Amino acid sequence: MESSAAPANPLVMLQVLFLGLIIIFITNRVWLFGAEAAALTAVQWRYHIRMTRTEALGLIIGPGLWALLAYVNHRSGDVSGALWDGFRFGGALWLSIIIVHLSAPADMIQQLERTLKKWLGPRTIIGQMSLIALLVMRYIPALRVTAKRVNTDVRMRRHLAGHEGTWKDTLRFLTPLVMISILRSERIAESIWARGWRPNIIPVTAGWSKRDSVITAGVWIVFLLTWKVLI
Amino acid sequence: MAIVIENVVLPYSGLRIPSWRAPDRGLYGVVGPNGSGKSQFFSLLYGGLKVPTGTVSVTARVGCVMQHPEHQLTESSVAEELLWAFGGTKHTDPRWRRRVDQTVARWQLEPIWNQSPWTLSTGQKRRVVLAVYDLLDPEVLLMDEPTEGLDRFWRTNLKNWLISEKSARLILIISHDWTWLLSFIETGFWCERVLDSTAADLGRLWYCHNQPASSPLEELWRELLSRNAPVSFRGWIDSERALQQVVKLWNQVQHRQIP
Repeated sequence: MESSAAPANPLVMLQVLFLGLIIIFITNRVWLFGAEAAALTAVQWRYHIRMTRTEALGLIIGPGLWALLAYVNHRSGDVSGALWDGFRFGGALWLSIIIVHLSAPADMIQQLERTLKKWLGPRTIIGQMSLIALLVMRYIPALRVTAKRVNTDVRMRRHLAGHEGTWKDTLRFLTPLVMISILRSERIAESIWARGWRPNIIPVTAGWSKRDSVITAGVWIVFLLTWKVLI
Repeated sequence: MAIVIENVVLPYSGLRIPSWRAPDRGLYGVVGPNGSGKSQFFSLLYGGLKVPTGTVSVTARVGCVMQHPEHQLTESSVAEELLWAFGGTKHTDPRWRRRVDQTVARWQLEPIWNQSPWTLSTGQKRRVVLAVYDLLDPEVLLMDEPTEGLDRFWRTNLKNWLISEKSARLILIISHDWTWLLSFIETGFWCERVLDSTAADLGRLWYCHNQPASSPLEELWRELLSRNAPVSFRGWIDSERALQQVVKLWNQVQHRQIP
């Protein structure tokens, strides 16, 4: 992987990646997508980023496959819609490749870990991050089952006590849900800690400069404006 | 019969319940291998599971101590956990107050009375849930792995409490802790693909179904029973009792009373 000096702190790059992906995915105007593509080209040119052969191939095949899948899944056979989906996916992929060239993913995660430690103490936050991933992929059905069980128990107890219930009863399931989530994330964090991950001795990869603050503020402004206009 | 189940097939586990009628009262085990549908059977009884086929009729007041106490803790203190279901309306009644005090004393909740249930150990959480259902006084009490997380002292206390409640209500207990179950429960329902409609001797169920042995004493007992030795099905759960039975057996062999 060939890359030039990172333009900003890894945490800034992580924010650019995260917000940039959202901006590209919610884009629904051709001119805006054109502007995004121009910005990506400018960054690639400015930092002399040369993609590897695999990355370049992926950038062509990935969006093609995405468009094909979108076309197959769309019952009315909307070709332009499928192509649009493919382009946006390609844009997201392009942004990811550029960011990864500019800042190593490990650096970004370590910087995030180090920053969050100011509020969360010495424990690893990878557990919490894993929880977020679990939430997206697999956790929601499990939480639904838990909520159902808690609600059944609440109903059972009310019935046994001969109590009609209050409005609060419908919200009682929230406490176990939140507490179980926290406990589960802590267990994940503990198991990662037990396997030797020591985030408290992570080396400082980059300092925070005024330029980092300016870039961060800029990215957030662009993100909020895009969000406000498009959604 | 307060609970009658006919022609039900449970989802996932595929457990079939051709016909099951709940006994009026007493202590019964619900035993079987992992994943056989025991907990689902309980869900059916307390109304947490709907089935597309068959009929389920429950007219009794059912309470359940679930497998995971975390699913039953909704409040910010043990006190609220114990009392919220009563809505505070009966708090002035001295008889009810006395009952609360007895329950708190029985499960030794005073030291943790104002503590958040989420800061407690698993055993303590379990005791809180047990206390909740002790106070709620259901006609049918279901207990799914109630000894999980409890130390020896509390396992014995729980056993004694269950024995004292034997004539007051129907108590069904799911557990894989055979030594604990056999020490005070006579009969149980075997649950594997099909739920037995009638309760069988729990010692016999242990001998017929539960393989392999988990301790040398249990292994010895299986061996003796397989050779038709005149020992009881429950002899192995208490080493003192086992010794007495083995000595008796040895004397009989010595005096050639048995081959």
